[in-house]
Amino acid sequence: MKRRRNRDLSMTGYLYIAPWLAGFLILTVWPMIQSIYFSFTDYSLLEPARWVGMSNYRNIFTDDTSFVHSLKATVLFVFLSVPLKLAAALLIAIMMNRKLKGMHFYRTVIYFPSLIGASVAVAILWNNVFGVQGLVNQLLSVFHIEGKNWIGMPETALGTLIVLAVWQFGSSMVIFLAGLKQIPGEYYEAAAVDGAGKLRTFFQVTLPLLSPILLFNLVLQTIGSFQMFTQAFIVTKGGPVESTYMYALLLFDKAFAHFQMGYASALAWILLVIIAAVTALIFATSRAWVHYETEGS
Amino acid sequence: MSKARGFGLGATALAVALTVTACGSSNSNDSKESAGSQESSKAGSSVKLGITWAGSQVRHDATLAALDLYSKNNPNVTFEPSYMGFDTYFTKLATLSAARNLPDIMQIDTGNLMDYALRDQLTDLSAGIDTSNINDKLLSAGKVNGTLYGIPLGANAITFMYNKAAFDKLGIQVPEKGFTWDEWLKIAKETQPKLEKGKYFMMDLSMATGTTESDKYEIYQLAQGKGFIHTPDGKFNIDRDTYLAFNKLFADLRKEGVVPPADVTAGHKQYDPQLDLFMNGTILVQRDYSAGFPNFESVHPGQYAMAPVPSASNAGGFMLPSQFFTVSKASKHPDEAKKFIDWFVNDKEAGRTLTLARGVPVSKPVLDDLTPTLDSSAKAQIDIIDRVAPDANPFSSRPKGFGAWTDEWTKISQAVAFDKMTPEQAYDELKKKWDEIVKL
Repeated sequence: MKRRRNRDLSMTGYLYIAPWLAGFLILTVWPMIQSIYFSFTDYSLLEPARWVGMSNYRNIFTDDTSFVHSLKATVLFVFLSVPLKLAAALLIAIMMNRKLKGMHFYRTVIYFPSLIGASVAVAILWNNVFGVQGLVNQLLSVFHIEGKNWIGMPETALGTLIVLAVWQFGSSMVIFLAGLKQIPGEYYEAAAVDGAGKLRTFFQVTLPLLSPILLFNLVLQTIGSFQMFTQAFIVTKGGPVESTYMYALLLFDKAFAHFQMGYASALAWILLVIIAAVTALIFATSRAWVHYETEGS
Repeated sequence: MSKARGFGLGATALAVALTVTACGSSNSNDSKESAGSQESSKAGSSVKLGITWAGSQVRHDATLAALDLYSKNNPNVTFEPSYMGFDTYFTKLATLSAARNLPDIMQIDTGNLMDYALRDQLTDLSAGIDTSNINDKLLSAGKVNGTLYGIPLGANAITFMYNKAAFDKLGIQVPEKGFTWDEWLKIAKETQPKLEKGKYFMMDLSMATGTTESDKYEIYQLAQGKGFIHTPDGKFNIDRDTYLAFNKLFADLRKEGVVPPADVTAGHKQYDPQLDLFMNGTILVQRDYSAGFPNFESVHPGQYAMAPVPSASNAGGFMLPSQFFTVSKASKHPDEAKKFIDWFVNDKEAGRTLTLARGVPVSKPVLDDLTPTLDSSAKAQIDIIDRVAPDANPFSSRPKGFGAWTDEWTKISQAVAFDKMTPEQAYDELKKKWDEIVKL
């Protein structure tokens, strides 16, 4: 009896999500299965796919300098931009977590870059900030330092994209802010009674209690940063000399500029494996540094 | 947030592309269909022609007006137009092609005519369209292995564009036929010291910053009498010595400060009023196509002029059709489509509607009819075509995969300019990439 009722219930549940499920199966799962197949073919979209076995994967790992350059640029980008962005987000969340008059206004203003940051317009604006006659060089000229074209130099172009990414700390900040508000005031009071300073309170109280949120943000931002596309596509086009040739950009070029769909599918699966591995690594280390209140410690 | 969206975009695009292609493989016999429909169009029943093109809003408006005009004169023909910017046009066309769903009439350019023709997706246009008024040097680009697949719609020429306002102040007079390479270099070196800091005489032609910019070198090789960088049948034809000499020349010019340092050139963004080095006055001379002239003219009216590209033992310039119209092999109304294209290029009324929306009209009578009504920027384009035409090198369409290869060109040229690769290595790399990417 009971089992039947349970099955009825779950059927109803599936029925409710059927429209979403259909979309998920047809538009996500099925294309993914197809792309596994295509990754073993030579497929130009214009001619039928031709089975080539492992040759796409072999070429990527042994004969594609662009793959090496883009992987290097992407890893560098992820490892620099994610910690910097999270640090900025946390710092500002703490500053915003006060009872001050007009706080809502400040929060809106601080969040604003993240609303517009992903847009094409801001990516274009970046050229005017870091270009030869850009804002940065005008500031430098006040101190009689002659600026360069920061976006045009292989050594600094990636840096400008990292700054752009860090500037969009808003969504992480909001999540941190929500996390900070969850921390019960008693802990701070207790810490104050015990005579802990501000820094000590931060490291002994705030940070451990915030660590689940930190893990969440870290995973989310890492996955997102590996897939960074828009800003590189618009600000630098991957140049100069492939110094900002993000992995997603390489994938896009192979697929939609060169019509090597098979090759691009193989690249996509490699990226998936890399992201999965890095995420798994983060979760593996999280035991050591994430503190869950409910589990005790 | 942004990255999630970026990936979402890529994933969706890939998913869409994959699903679309999955549905497209069940079309059996195209030729039978078209034979049947030819009869129906002869009977004078109504015909709907699919037509697609890419370009700016000006071109969209002019073309739509021309379509209306044609439908008014031929009430049995209506159109199903589809138009967009260039950024995604060829991706869309490729997707449609994979789905065997190409419209009857398609605008294609010299970069991929051969691609579509060799894949047997275009109709032979040798008969049914009057091409007697079109310059042979343009018409030749529409042929693949001797068969005419593309009807040129506008003439375009590669030029040296220069800042005439600045030249007048400096007292430099560019002759009608342009300078030779030696003359340009001499003037460049004499002029550079007179320019203020941060200004340079000319563009660094050895360094590409966008797509399909191998022509910056190609004009040099042509002037040395070594031909285009590929043969008409699509074989690699970069002359090693010429290529090395060219890179040495521009490396020296970079050191002397006649062309900008590599990081400045890398920041060049075409047609962006702040970042286009020519538009913002950083350089005085650049190579660009005559069809692009109005973009500069509209930002700084009256400031710029065009000259043929420099010559040496040979002329360096060439003309090319800005665009073609082609007819899809699967078209059910090929005769109606040809009739329309014939009208589109040869009819004076059509010419007056279209003006220079696709470059200088290819038909002489249409052009003569149109010229008195045009503005100075349009007249400058017609004038430069007249000056380039007599000794222009005969252009042939680009081989399949050429566009993708030029992306490699861009990266390699930057590696050389930033001293990360020697020109000798670059030459080998270009050859290697050609063998990999360009397939015939």
